[in-house]
Amino acid sequence: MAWEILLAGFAGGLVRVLLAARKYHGWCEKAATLSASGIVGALAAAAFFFVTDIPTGMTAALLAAGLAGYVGADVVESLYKIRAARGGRLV
Amino acid sequence: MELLELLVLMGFGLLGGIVRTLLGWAKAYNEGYKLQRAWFGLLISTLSGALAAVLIAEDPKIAVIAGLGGADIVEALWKGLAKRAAGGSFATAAGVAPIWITERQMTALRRAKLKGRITIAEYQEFTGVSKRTAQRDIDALVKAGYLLCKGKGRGTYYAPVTSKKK
Repeated sequence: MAWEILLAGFAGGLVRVLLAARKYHGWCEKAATLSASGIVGALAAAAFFFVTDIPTGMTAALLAAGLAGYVGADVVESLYKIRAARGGRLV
Repeated sequence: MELLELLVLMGFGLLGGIVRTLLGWAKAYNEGYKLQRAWFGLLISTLSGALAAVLIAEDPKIAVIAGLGGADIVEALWKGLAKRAAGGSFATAAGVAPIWITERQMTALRRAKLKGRITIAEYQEFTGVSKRTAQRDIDALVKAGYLLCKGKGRGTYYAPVTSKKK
């Protein structure tokens, strides 16, 4: 179950970065950014289920993990963009 | 499910939407544009939060994260529509930029506006690209009329073009 949750979180992170790539083409389409966002998504899913109960049923758990991965990647991307806009490094 | 339970889940969805709206506001403030139609994002958050919680598990935490996700999708769609309405352009802190401008070039424009200038070395430092790529990116901005090349040799720097000069 743990691997499935991480994979679903990874997929959620990928969906988020692909949505971002639709808005801006360039560095965010690169494979490194894609995988980084996926990893953030997987970690977010793991963190979400660490602090909360895993919903009963495989489908519900995977959907929740995907959602947590998406939101985790979004929050990290937003914070990263705020940092970049305030003069921080992009990489 | 009772109406009261549904309203509670909607409330949690709204909570997620408020969190995402605050994050969106911080992003907009730092990137130099105004947050628009926040109420619509909050409405969608409320609905998406409750819907996801009903479909996945009747759990307020699911409603919160679905609310966050709902507001984000609304923001992405809104930006896409705004870009299309502006004829393939989108607003940046440095003015309206064409669709081809990459994220790192947008950041360069913001920095140039913030500090009044930018150099190739600075651009290389914060983006991590090679000198050749940095030069190509900046040259494209100069060619499009967003930056002005000033100075010579080692003292070369790039200043933002104000809307009045353009």
